[in-house]
Parts: sequence; C-alpha cells; structure tokens
Amino acid sequence: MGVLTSKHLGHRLNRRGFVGAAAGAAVAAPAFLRSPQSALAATQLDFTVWNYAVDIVQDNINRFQEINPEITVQLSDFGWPIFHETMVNRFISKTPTDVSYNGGNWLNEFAAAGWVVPLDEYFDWANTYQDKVLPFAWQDMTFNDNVYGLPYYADTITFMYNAQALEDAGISAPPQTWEEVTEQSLQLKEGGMEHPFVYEFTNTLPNVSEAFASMVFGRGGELIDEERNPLWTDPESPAAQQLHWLVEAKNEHDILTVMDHETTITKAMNTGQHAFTVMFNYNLAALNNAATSPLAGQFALALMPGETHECYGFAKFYNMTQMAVDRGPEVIDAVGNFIQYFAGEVDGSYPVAKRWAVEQGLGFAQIPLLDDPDVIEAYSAWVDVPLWREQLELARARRQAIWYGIWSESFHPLLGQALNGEITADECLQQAADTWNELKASVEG
Amino acid sequence: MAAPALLLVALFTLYPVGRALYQSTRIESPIFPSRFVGLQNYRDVLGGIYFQGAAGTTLWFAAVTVPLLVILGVLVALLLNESFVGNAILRVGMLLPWALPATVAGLVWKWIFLDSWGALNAGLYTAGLIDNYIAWLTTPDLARTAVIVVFIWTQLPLTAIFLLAALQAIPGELYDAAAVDGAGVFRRFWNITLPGIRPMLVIVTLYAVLMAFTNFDIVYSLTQGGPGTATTMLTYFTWVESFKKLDFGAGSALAVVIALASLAVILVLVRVIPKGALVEERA
Amino acid sequence: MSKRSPLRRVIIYGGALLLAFFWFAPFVLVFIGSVLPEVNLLSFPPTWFADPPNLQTYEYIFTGKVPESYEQRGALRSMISNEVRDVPRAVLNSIVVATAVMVINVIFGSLAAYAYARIRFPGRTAAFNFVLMSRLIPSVAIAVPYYLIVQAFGLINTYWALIAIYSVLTLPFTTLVLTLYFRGLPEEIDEAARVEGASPWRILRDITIPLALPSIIGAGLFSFMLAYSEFLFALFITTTSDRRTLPVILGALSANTDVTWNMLMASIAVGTIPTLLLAIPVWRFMVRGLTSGAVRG
Repeated sequence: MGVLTSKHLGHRLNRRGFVGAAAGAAVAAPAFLRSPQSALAATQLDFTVWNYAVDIVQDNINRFQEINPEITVQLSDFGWPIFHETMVNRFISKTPTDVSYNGGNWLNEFAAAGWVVPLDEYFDWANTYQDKVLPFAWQDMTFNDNVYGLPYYADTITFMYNAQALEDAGISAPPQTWEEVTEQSLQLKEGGMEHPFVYEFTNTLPNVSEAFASMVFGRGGELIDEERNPLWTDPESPAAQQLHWLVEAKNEHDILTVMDHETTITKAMNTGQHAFTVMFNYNLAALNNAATSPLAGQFALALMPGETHECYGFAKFYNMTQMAVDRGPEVIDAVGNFIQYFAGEVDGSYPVAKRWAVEQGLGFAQIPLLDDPDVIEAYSAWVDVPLWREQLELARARRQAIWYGIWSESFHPLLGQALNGEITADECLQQAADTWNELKASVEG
Repeated sequence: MAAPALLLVALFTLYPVGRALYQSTRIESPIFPSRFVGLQNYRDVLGGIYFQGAAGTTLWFAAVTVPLLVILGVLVALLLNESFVGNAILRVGMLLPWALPATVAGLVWKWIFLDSWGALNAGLYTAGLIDNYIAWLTTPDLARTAVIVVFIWTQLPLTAIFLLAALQAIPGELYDAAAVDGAGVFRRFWNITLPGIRPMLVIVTLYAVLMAFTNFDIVYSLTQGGPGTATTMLTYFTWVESFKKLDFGAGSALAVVIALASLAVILVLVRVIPKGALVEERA
Repeated sequence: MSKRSPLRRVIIYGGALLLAFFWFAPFVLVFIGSVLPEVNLLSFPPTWFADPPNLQTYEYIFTGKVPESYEQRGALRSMISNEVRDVPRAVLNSIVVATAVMVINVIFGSLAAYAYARIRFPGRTAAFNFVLMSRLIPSVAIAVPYYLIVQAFGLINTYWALIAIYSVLTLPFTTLVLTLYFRGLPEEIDEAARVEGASPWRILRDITIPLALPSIIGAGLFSFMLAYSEFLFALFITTTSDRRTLPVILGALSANTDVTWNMLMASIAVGTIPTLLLAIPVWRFMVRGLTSGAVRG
C-alpha cells in the first residue's frame, strides 16, 4: 500500500504541478488577494458523475467554488449505461478521482475492492444525518454498518399508468395486484392496444434487477434472505411469482413488450400505444412534461401492485474514494466540504438536493425537504403528492451482497432469454440461483 | 526507416498481447484474490452456456454476412462498372454509410427500426401494410436481421468499391476477344471477370471476416446484445466479462480465443491467395 | 460500351434505384426527423407533417437558442439535452484527431511500407506478420492495457493519446496496402536510379513517392475515416466533453434521459457533414489509386 501510495502521489504531483496548480491558481486569484493562505493551499478535487444534466452540476460546482475559493473542482462525466465500467477502469488504473457518484448496487463491490471509503470514519458529522435522511436511502448508502455517502438524489421505482387510456377503456381504477394488471391489460388489448405493459429491459442497464426487485417488493417479497441465500428458488416466493408473471405476460398473454431505456419508454408511452410501466419515479415528471410530451397530464402514479404495495427505494450518493484519502488531510477536508455542500445542510436548507427536486423532478431523501413548499409545488405539476408520499413511506432498500452487481450481469441475459421464450421461467430461476450460489461461495468460501 | 512506426506499434502490441495472455491464466478481479489458475479460465469460458450462445451467434453472423457481403459486393461492383445516369452520385454517395461512425450508424437505424415510433413502422402503417407496429428490435429473429442489415449497410460500400477497382483493372481487350469468340455473359463472367478479381475477392473476404468477428459498435448501439442474448456476440461478451463482471481473467481468455479463431479462419483463407500477392512469397 | 438490350437497362436502372434507396433513405429520414417537432414524431397513428418543419434544432445546436416548443408555459424546466451543444466541438475534436492520424499514416506508413517492399533486413517477415496478427485481438481486450500506457505517459484526456492509439490501429493496414503497392512498382526504375548513384532516400523521395502518391493519400484518408469513427478507446480516454469525439458524444446523447429525438437526429446530421465533405476526395484517391496497384499482384 505504502509503495503504491507514494508512487501514486508522485504521479499526481507531476500532473498537478504543471497543469492543476496553474489552473487552480488562476481560478483562485481573487481569493489570493483576500487570504494568501487559502491560495497557497488550493486543492483540486476530481469529481466524477454520470452525465445527467451536466450543466446544472457544473453550475452547482461554480456556486460551491464561490463559497470555497480554496477548492477547485474538476468535473468528469460519463454515460449512465457505462458508468460502472468507467469507474472500474478509473479505479484499476488509479486515474485521479476524489469524489464520485455511486449507488447501492455498486457500493458493495467498490467498498470490498477498497476503492471507496466510509464517510463516518473520516467525518464526525456523517452520522448526524441519519435522522435527517429517509431510512431506505440510509440503508442503501450503508455497507458493513458504515455509511459511505450522502444522497445526490434518492428515488423509488414505481408503477405508472396512462389514466386517460384506462378511462377510455372503461376502467375506473388502476390495478391493485399483478393479476389485475393482467386483466386490465387484456381488456385494453381487446380495445386495440397491442402491448399495454412496457417493461424496461436491456442487458446493459444497471437498473433492470432493481425494477424487478421493486415489483417483488410490491408483493411483499425480497430477493435474498439475511444469510444472503436466494429466495426465488421457492416457487411460491414473490420473486418466483413475479418472474413467472413477466414471462407469461410476454409469451402467453402477449400484453407486455420490452424496451431498452427509460427515454425510449417515456416517448413510447407518449404515443398512446401503452398504458402501464415500472420505472424510476422521476420519469413521471418527464411523462407529464408538456414541453416534450404530447400526452402530458395523462400519466399518473399508482401504488406498486401486490399485497403490500411496497416498492424499491434507493439512493445515489456522493462517495469519497481511497485515492482522495491517499492524497492527505487537506484533500479529505475539501471532500468533506464538498459533500456537505452538495448533500448536506447549508444555512438550514438543502440547496442542491432541493434544486434537483424542483427543477428536474428528481427524488430526494433529505426529510426536511418533504415539507418544503417549493418542492411540493413543483411536484404537484406532475404527481399526486399525497399518493407519492404514501408510496415513499412504503419504500425500502434491498438486501445487499458484494456480488450483487456481478450476479445481475448474469441474471439480465437469463431474464432476457426467458422473455424471449428460449428458456422457461423455472430454468431462468434455477440458473440464476446457481450463478448466485457460485459467486457467494467464491466470496464467502 | 520503418523504425519509428515499428517502435510505436511494438509498444502497443507486445504489451497488450502479453498482458492478455498473462491475465488469461489468472483470477484477475479487484474483489476476488488474484492467483494463477492455469487454463481454468479457458475451461470455464469455453464450457459456459453464454460462450456457446455468443460463439454460435458470432459464427452464424459471420456465416450469413460474409457470403452476403461478397456476393452483393460483386453484384454492386458489376452494376457500378456499367455506365448509367447517376453512376457518379451513387459511387461517391455510397461512401457515406461506410464513413459514418458505426455507433452513429446504429443510431440512424435505431430511428428506423424502433418498435413504438420508428420510421419503418410509421411508413408501413401509413401505407396500410400493417395494423400494429412490429417489434423489430425486441423480437430475437428480427433484431438479428436488423443487425445484419446495418452491418451490410456500413460494410457493403467498401467491399463493392474494392471489387469495382479490381474489375476496372481487367484489360478490356480480354472481353473483346471473348465477344469475338461468341462467349455469353455468364461465360465471360466465369472465364474472365472471376479470375481477374480473384485476388481482390480474397482480400475482401478476409476483411469481411475480420469485421464480422470484431463487430462491436453496431450491436452496442442498436441492441446491446439483446433481446436476451439474441445478438450477443463474442466481442460484446468480452466487454461484459471484463468490465461488468470484473472478471478480467475470463475476459482475457475470451479475447485470446477470439484472436485464435480469427487467425484460424484467416490462415485457411490465406492459402487461397495466389503466389506473389503477399510479402512472404517474395522475401 | 456496346448497345444494351432493354432488359439489361431495366436491371441496371432498377438495381441502381434500389441501391440508392438503401443507402440514402436513412439519411433522408434523419434529416426529416431533425426538422419536425418531436411530438409529431411520437404521434400514433403517425402524423409527422401535422406541423411545418423548421430548423430550430440546428439553431439550438449552434447558437443555444431554445426552440419554441420547449418554452411552453406550465412545463417543468424544459427538458432539453444541452449536451447536443457539444456536437460541433465533438466534430472538431474528431477532425483534429483524424487529421493527425492521417498525417502520421502517410509519413510512417509509407516509410515502413517502402522498407518492407524494398529493403531486406533480418526478421522482416516475422515483424510484418506480428504487426498484422496483433490486430486480431479484439479492441475490448486491449482497452485496459492501452489505457494504462496512455496514463503512464500522463496523456489521459488528450488528443495525443487518441492520435497514438489510432495510429497504432491503422498503421498495419496502411503498411500492408502500401507494401503491396510498392511491390507492384517495377524495380528496374530503382535499379536505374541506383546505377546513377542515387541514395535510397532520393529514390524514395523522387521516384517512389511521386509514383505512389494517389495510393498514399488514399490509405491516409482510409486511416482518417477509421480514426473519425472509433468509439471504444475514445470512450475510455476522454473524460470531459471538450475532448470527446463525435461517436462518444452521440453515443452518450442517445442514452441521455432528457434527449429529444429531433435534437438527436439534428446532431447526427451535423456529425455527418464532415463525412459528406470527405466522400469526394476519398473516392478520387482511394478508389482510383489505392486499389489498382494492389490488385494485380
């Protein structure tokens, strides 16, 4: 470790010496006039994000830099479908990265690899946020009882439907159970809608197994038990039932079609050829956005079908890297300031999280924002707020395992093959369990 | 004189090839302890159902596209060798699909094939040919067809142009003499054209094989290997093993397997190349 | 050409029309998609032309002026993918990198090819074969080693890294093609010059290169196209939008949550313009020069 660190530091110094420091000094020049010390201590942070609304991210960075002139932030952004691969590459090659977005599905493997570090080991304030953050989000940011980040946004995967289409078909209320989804879909199909249910699925999307988990939660289920054994091997389990539901909806009833990405689905739903889908909740804002959606206003949230109506909740968060720690205490402090500004309380408010919620419709986990009038007003434009809050209270995080992300890369093609009718639902479940157990054995011995 | 080029190429070939070979014999993963495992990765990879599926898809893809490319290439070259109004426009314009980045070509065709609002469905529907939109990209056989269409769209221009150049190099007197002898169209094609373009046919076939085996961008942007594993090919699978499953050992083993497979195909094809066309022959 | 039978004319023109449709229709569709409001494109049953076409998407890409349809009242902050404004810059990046790769290929490729074709040195065949065979390893497998090399030189997120990698990827092909071509040139001319006392350098400069110029430029343009199109390495090597190449920007755009389809189509159209401009020189040099020499063998 020591060897690696000094080598790594040497590399950083070289790079920074010529480029970073020059740029940093230029930006920090006004601050130099006010306070010589801070200019000398100019710290550059490398911040890595997936490229959602990068202009807003950069604007937030600019605001942060105004308050913290001794810190400059270098932003790098990558596409969401390749974010995991990009981060793996950056960590393996030790490409300078101090703070990055991360999610619960990757936290386990990144933490196990020693690439990211727990916040509470470095900052006293980290644990004070536990009462101010929704429990599912807190759980999603936790690994081995340590919290690794504060939320960039937190959201749920929810059930959305076209209320107008249902009304036109004489259906008075959205489905309460998956059996009702089938019934209503068949009724809509009678009326000429070929595929009422759109299912977001492609091998490369990290969120496929999360959406699956959310549907399983609606039935009151889980994917794994506390000893991290798969639960779907029991044919009566909610997970097995939901997988059967998907495969039957596709191949028996022909009411379900598959699409590769939320952007495709948002547009497809707006052609009026589909009535139901399960996606990240913020997509409802896009569905109901009059600027781009022809059918804006027709889309509504329903509680996740199933016995308990629970759903999957998650947090995407700001995570400090081991590389930042290796750079020394000044950098750690700078990362602390950064994360507190972006996700924490600033002057009694949560400016960045609030901005995402109001301007983009992203979800959040900072509890005080739940009663913020600006947030409620913005949300009212695209969602039934009381219902949304009801669903939020029913949200929970998923049980984690280090190999979860790796396993899901095997699970996705299996699910795809089952949806294609190339293997049966039972074969899919069995092979998914075999892969899981193999990975579990190789990690846990 | 070749030293600068050779040095650069050596750095970028010896090291990656060596590294791939080395890693392929190890467990190489950030979350599992690294160790030497001999040929275990090869056994796992070759024995796994995904490999067999992806290898099948790749072989099937090559078996369909390579002959298709070569045959269509000859036909298009023969056509462009005729004089007709608009010939020049077609010759220059057809370079566009080839010159377009494959990822972009994938996007262009995605707009055509998209299930819910693609141009093809809209056109067919408006023309009254279909009552419901067809799920081009999410029905396995249709998605495979779509990948082939895009592949042909991007690769046929170059194939045709190479063959056209070969056609034009055949001396016209040969045809005149054959015409005097009363040889028909097909006789002339068989006796003059085909032998004349044979060296180029080999080169074009080699090129098509390489392209078919290493095609990644089109699949990545059009179907991401889906639906299910319907369009997952070996190169794409390598990506998944290494970067998504963090199994760089298996990923490297796969890469070596792909390289050996391409090599085998090419060695077989090289045997058909006439003497004098390759460097070794005159060394 | 001799007189043609009517049947033959029908086949020729029928075939030409079919080809033209296959190759050009997608481009026409991209353009149509770029000038219509997205709501029309999404309509079902399709009513694409319910509203008149406009060039506002292009205006936004180049000037940042937000199209009218995005400014409707009552909407959330308009979902507009501001990343499309990176497209012109990405085109520029791609052109810079590809041009450099072309120059390198022209210079080093012809030097190497000349060496292989004319000068005997130990290990020549082995070196030649190795360079060619090394290209059989799929890009995906060499992505990480390449990244590590680039990083060791401190060149992450630079043009230099991309130029080096693409040169490595294209040089073997350029060398192969030019070697074949140089071999086709009669050695007697060289002999004659050597008798006159010309050095190998002079022979190359004053005889071989002028003779082979169309091929050299053709091979250079070929390398330009490969560099302009490459996706995977550019994806890893570039980390900020001001260095990204066109394939990477468009690839990311298509998966962007706030992308509109007409914007994406306009971006693709903008990205196609340089290709369009290059098609004519590529045709002239590559097809007329490059292949004719290599074919006869």
